Parts: sequence; C-alpha cells; structure tokens
Amino acid sequence: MWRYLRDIGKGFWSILLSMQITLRYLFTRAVTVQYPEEKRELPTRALTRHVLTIDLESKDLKCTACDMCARICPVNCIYLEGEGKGKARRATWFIIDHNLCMYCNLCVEVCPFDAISMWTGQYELGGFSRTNLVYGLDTMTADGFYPTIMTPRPPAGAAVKAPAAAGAGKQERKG
Amino acid sequence: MIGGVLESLYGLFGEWWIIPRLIEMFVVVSIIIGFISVAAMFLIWWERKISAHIQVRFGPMRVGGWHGWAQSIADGIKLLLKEDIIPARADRPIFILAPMVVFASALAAYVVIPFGPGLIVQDLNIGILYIIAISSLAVLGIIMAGWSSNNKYAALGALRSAAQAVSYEIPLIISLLGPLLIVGSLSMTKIVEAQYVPFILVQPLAFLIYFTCAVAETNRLPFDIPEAESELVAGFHVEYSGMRFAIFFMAEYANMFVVCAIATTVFLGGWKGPLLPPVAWFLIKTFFLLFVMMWLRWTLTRTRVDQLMNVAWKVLLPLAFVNLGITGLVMLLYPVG
Ligand code: SF4
Ligand code: SF4
Repeated sequence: MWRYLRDIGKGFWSILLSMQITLRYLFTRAVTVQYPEEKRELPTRALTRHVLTIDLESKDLKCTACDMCARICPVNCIYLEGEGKGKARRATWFIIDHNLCMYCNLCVEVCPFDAISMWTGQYELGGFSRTNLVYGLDTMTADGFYPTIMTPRPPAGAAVKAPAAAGAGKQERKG
Repeated sequence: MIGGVLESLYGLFGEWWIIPRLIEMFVVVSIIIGFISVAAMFLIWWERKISAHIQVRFGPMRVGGWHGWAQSIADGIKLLLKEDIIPARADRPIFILAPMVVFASALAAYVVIPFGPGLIVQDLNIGILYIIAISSLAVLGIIMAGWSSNNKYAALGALRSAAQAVSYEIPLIISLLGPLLIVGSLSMTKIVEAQYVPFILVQPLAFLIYFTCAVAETNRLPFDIPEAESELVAGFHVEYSGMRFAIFFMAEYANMFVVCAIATTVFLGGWKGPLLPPVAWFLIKTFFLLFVMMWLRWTLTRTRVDQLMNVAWKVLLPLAFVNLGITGLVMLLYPVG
C-alpha cells in the first residue's frame, strides 16, 4: 500500500519536473535561422562554387590548361581545352558542371598554379534548368572575383600580393 | 435585442411556431460551427507554435505574414481541394458517416457549455450528464471509421480507442461526482454559480483525475495509442484524406475544447473572475487548460497499452472512489458546506 502511494507520488513528481523542463525550453530562443532573410556566416574556408584566378600583373588567367584538375575530379565534371605551348598555354574553354560537382576541393589541391579556387562564398546556385549550373569561362572569371581571390576575405588595406602567395602555399600543404 | 427579434418572428408565424424555431436552431448551430472552426484553426496553429518553441524552433512562419497566423487557413483550403479517396473495399456508407458522427458528437456538447451568465445555448438541468453521454458517442464514430476502412491499422486503432474510452470514462465520471455532490445539481449554470471558491481548491484530487482522463478521452499524448503514429501509422484515420480527414482533425480539437471547458466550468469557477467580462474569463481559463494539454503532449512520451490500462484501473479509479468517499463523508458531517 505504501509503495503504491509512493509510486503515484513519484510519477506525479517526475511529470511536474519534466513539465518544468519543457516550459523552460518553451521560452528559450529558437535556434532556427530564417534563411532567405537572415543568413548564417560561412566558415572562412567554406568550399563553394569555383572561380578561376587571375594573375595580378599580366591580368591573365593563371590556368595553363594542364588538365590535372579534370583528371583528378572524381566525378569527371571538369571539361577543358587549351591552346599554346609551355607557359604560354591558356585555356580556351573551361567548363565545370555544378550539377555533378560534390565540392571535394581535389581540383583546387591538385592545381600546380593555384589557378582555381573554391573560396567564393557563393552557395546559392539555384537555377531553373540543369544548364544553369554548367559554368563556363565567363561565369568563372566574373567581375565579382576580379582580380583574384587567393585567401578568403583578405584584410582590408593589406598588400594583396604577398599574403596571397603565402595563403595559397599554405592551402596546398594542408591538403 | 435578439430576444425582441425572436419574439416578432414567433408573432409573425403564429401557430406555425415550428418555422421560427427551426430558423433559430439553424442560426445557433451555425454560430457554434463557426466558433468551433475558428477555435480549432487557432488551436492547431497554436499547438504547432508551442510544439516548435518547446523544441527550440519557430514552427510555421510564412503564411499570412505575422508568425504564420494563416497557416491553418491555408491547410484547411488545401485539404478542401484535395482528392477525396475512399478505399475500394471500404464499407462506403459507414466510412462516409464516421467523421460526421465524430464531429456531431463534439458539436452537440457545445450546447450546454456556459460561456457566460446566460450565454448558454440550452441550460439543461442534466447538463453534465448530457455532455458525458454525448461525448461517448465519439468513440462510436471512431470505431465506425476504423472498422469500415478495411485496414488492419485502422481496426486496431479503433479497438484500442474503444478500450481506452471505456476505461477512462469511469474514473472521469466518478471524479466529476465529487464537485457535483457539493453543488447538488447537474446544470452547468448552477455548477458555476455554486462556486464561491473554484472547486479546484476544494477538490484538487478530482481535478487531477478528471484532467488525466480528459487527456485520455481526447486521444492525446501521452494517451494517444489509438493513433500512435509509430506503431499504427495513424490509427483509425489512416484511410481518410482530404476534407474527411480535416473533419476528424477539427473534431479532435473541438473535443479538446469541450473537455477543457467542462474542467473550467466544474473546477475553475467557470466565467467568474474580477475585472474582465465573464466570457473573457471563461475563455482565458479554458485556453490555459488547453495550453497545459499541449504542454503535456510535448513533454511526455506515449504510454504502452498495458500501462494505460494500469493507470486507469489501478490508480485513477481507486483514487476517484477515495475522493468521492471523502467528499461524501465531509458533506455528511458538515451538511452546510
Ligand atoms: S570540387 Fe571535386 S567534384 Fe568538384 S570539380 Fe573539383 S574535383 Fe571535381
Ligand atoms: S585549373 Fe589548374 S589544374 Fe586545372 S587545368 Fe588549369 S592549371 Fe591545370
């Protein structure tokens, strides 16, 4: 009899306790980020869509169409063609199919000239057809990334060239 | 003013008093249905909000601008426009009738809810008995739905619902007997008028028993085994879609409102309260109880069937009897109180 009453009391007490906990959670701030209105800060080195970088001095693409990235890409989504010999060789067309890309960063790591980067911070790639996601040379060298982005968000006023090279080197070693 | 209009209507038709009487009934029922729909839509939205905030998220935020207030309306319209599917091997007439029975039983209970002094459709002298009798009909509708769907999950859900309703109705009624002994009347208005202090202070045990049973009666967590999503898919309304499903859904919330309104009337002093108008007090108390119900739902986990029966027969029923016995004894010793 005593146990029976104690069980009821205990059960009732535990319900009250758990209700207290849920009540506390009811009044904590929701963690949801209301996406289109508010956006989450991206990690500094978030891997987003690709850009082909440009050499500051010659204002030319750094890519020499060596085909390394196209060969290492696990899903074969890079297509490119080039013209010229040796250091003068340049890509004539360069396409990354973002329908297939899985953002593995391998193409960036393998590139011997730091000619491709994924630190653009652009992740809103929605489109109305599949072709919208196939990016060619013009999109990947678009104005927003001119002249080049070597490090994510270089501090304002800093000399672009020196830290750029250092940052790029670091990235390669880390990989 | 309403009385005047009615009087002139009755005068107009003379011995054909049945016609204005029908008009009157029609208007009253329309008002009740309107109230139920608005209340149910609000409750659905509110419940989604509460559940979301308890889980530290926002819930509906888009439809209608301010915190997704129009979400229920949008859902309702969506359900209205959906295809109405009746399973090929279902028992058609019963399948179609079931949601109506469930909803009608919820609707009928609103007749005797006293929203304020005089604000009651019909102050029956057996008010509370009437509500208990009518609300038992909902189980019939649920069994009809489960049986006619020709689906094992639906049938299981319906049978569970029957077992649950039968078990929980008994402690529910006995817990109500305590306050009724004190009042000495079954009329809802008289019950409210008799409460100089809310009966929850005099009969706390009865209130707890009643509230537990009420949660079980409305098939809500932690007692929602008739529609346990994880084991029975959705229980008795698995096969329902579109508007018929919406009616079930609305009936559930209408029933919640009814049980909370009874609790307000019998235990919380009904419309009585300082400053605010009586209707406001009644609604505040009822919606607070509804909030507690939702709060419970998002706190506790579902019970097993055997635990459910245990609680009903081994805990609630004896306690209800103890409460009734003590109340009777005290009434006998101090006959005035
Ligand atoms: S990130 Fe990976 S998948 Fe995408 S293009 Fe580069 S190598 Fe291919
Ligand atoms: S992006 Fe780099 S790896 Fe790819 S073709 Fe150009 S230089 Fe070679």
